[in-house]
Amino acid sequence: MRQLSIVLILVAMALPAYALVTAPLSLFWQAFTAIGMVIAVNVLRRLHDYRWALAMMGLSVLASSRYLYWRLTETLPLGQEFNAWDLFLSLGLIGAELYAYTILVLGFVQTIWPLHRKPAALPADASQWPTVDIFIPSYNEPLAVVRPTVLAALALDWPRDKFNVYVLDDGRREEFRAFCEHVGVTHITRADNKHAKAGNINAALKHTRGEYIAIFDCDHIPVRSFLQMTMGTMLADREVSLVQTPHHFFSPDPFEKNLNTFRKVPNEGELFYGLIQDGNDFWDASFFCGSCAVLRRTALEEIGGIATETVTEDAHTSLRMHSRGWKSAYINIPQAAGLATESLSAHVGQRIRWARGMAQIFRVDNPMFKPGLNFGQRICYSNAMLHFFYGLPRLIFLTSPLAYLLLGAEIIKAQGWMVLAYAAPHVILATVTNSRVQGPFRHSFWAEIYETVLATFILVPTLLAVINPKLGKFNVTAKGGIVDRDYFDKDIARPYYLLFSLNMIGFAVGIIRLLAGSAHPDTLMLNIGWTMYNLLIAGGALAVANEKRQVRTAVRVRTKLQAAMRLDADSGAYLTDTLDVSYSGVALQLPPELTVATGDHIQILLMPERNDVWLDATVRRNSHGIVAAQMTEMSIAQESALVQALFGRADAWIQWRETQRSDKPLSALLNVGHYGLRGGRDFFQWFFRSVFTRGSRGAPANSA
Amino acid sequence: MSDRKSSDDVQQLLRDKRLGDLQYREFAPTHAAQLKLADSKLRPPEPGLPPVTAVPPAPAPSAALPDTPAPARSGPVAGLPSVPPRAQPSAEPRSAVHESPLNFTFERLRRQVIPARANGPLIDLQLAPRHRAAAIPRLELLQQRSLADVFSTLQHASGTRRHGS
Repeated sequence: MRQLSIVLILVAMALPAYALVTAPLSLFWQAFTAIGMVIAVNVLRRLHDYRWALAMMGLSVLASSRYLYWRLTETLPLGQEFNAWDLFLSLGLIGAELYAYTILVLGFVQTIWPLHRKPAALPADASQWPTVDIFIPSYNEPLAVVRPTVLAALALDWPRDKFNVYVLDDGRREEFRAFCEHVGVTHITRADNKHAKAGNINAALKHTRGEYIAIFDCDHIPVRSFLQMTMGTMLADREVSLVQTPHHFFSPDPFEKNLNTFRKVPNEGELFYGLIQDGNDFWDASFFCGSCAVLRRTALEEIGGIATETVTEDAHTSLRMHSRGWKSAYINIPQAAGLATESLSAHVGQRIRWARGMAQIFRVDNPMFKPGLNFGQRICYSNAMLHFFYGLPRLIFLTSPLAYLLLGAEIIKAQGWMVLAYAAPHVILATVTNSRVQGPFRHSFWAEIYETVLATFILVPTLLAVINPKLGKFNVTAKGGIVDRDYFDKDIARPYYLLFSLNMIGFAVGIIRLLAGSAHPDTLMLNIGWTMYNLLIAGGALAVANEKRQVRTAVRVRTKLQAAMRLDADSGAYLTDTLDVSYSGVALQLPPELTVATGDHIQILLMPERNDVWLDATVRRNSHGIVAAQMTEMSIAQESALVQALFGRADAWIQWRETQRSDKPLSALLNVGHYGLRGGRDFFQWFFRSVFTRGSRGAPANSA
Repeated sequence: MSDRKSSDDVQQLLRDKRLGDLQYREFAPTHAAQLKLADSKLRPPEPGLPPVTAVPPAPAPSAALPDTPAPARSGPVAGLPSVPPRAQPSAEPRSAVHESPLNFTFERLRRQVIPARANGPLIDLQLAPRHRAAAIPRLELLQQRSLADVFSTLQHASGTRRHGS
């Protein structure tokens, strides 16, 4: 009965929707409709009840459908006056638009009702709590990166005889073995490195017996409450195979570092962990993300362990579990934090792997056809995989106006004002609706910058993975490195300055054509405007390639903790607060009564109400009431105390999201434009400096 | 951006995430430092705060704590007060949404209680203070009129309106 009523409602809605999408209108009435739609969506945006966001999604889909219907039925360059070249370019653009439309609609379905699941309570009797194996796989990361993760894992709030920590060392390093022995965790190695991380975990599964497996990448440091926040869900529903928590990063990624947007603009991953995974959870389709998750051993064993056929073993593993009828859950509370990639090249390398892996799964285990999945799971997995095919469409959008401006190709058979009247509501409604739905997790127009930076790099790997899914191998993402100087990464920026230069030329030609007089000034102006936007986006990508220096290996985390400091064990202590803390140092407010000088040895106690281990430090700076001290060599007890105060607090990361600014599309556009201009300026500076330097270098040689 | 003091970590997490029905257990022994402050007073750092911050667990019979954590058995938790057992919270209230994603309707969406959305943003309108002084005397004046006065005023007003229109 209910399904019948749903069908009836859909049919009743489909008929007027069809009329709205297909009704042919004159320019005046289409413009009138466009303005009405834009006003309507802006009114809806101001209504707080989330159900109005659903209405916005519906309106946005209608506007986009109407635009695409018009594009497909009235604007394709078919006829005597157009040549094959026009048609080829036009089909490229319409293909890109169809892709964007598909992703938009799938995205709306995927995030229609984010679940915001709360952790479930555990049995009061802790003897009923299950046993958990904590896996920390590592391959070539330095021990300094792995140490805090191991120490934080040992401090998890869980009965000590019910969890074991294992370092899965594929590098088979002696220093790792010695450290593990020293702190009392198990060091597991294997004879080969077959199937990389997936193979490493599968090998360890054979040596351990815990009912559940918690997996942390070696640089993802868990907070003490991780298991109590996740395991209740496992016990409450025996069909849940996986509980995933967000990947939170306490260091800036290359975008945040090079654009100076850390904790000001949501980073690339926040949309996925802040919203999409919560949306997936509504459809029982939250994915395994390789780290910061707990898995049920029986579910894992039923599918033969972690999937090894693709380089994104995590999503593939959860896809298999879902297809066997297992459920998954997502707790959207950061319960671990890690290091983001430091350089743009490392970031690009990581994203290439993700894109290749998702394309491989799309090819070998396509979620649209895989038996055992429900409708929502098919949608969510498909959208996650299709998303990584954005390389070609993004490049088409960045170059399409050039077809008209530089080549004179008529790729849209319509006058400029008509294109604007149809395209504007499609673009504006999609932007405003996404801004409402995605809220603080992705600011408007930033997706263009994120995608432009990666588009050229993921294009070929995704296409190759579809053609031959066995190509490529697992690459480990480098973490914990440094960038020793400011520099323009001209190698990685090559596609960006090509795109920027082409759009620059197109813009100049367009202006010249406009000044010289054109038969279709509206079409010309539309293309010039589009090119200007593309210039800003390509400029933004250039700005990201301008690497900023990062010399600290230990990232400073700005956090206000209670602390005490004293000169030595015999002297009195002064209570104070920290300003920031890192793995190697701490900045404190200097108590007014205390006098210290650079080079003095002091002792610092973090969170004195729950910790009595003093840290030894040397004063490095002392000015304006702030004292910055560097830790001297720490014992394991001291290191553990520092880890627990800095990374292990249950509430360590939850406040970060609460301080995020919500999105304002116009303000975001200005923001992106600002970075676009800055990127353009950086590019010209680098270009002229390179030319000048080369010239001056050459001069002595010539004179000689 | 303001970073609040985070040393009260577990309770802060439970509070900020509105996890009121979740019971948290601490297993690692906590050693609050006995500080000898510079003014020679011996006192714990934060007299207002208990050394261990955790939501009281269910049955917590009083027992001496072992130095090393041996929490396989149920019951004693470091430094926690003994409180009567609380009823176990019910199972995850929204687990029903996993039946079938196709089954949802707008009515069902409406019924789902999502606390994050239920609490709308607090709007500070910053309105000017309200003054009612002008309205009250006039109202009182009007109420004091006789019925005849009222009718004659009404008659006069309607007559004026007719002529004016």
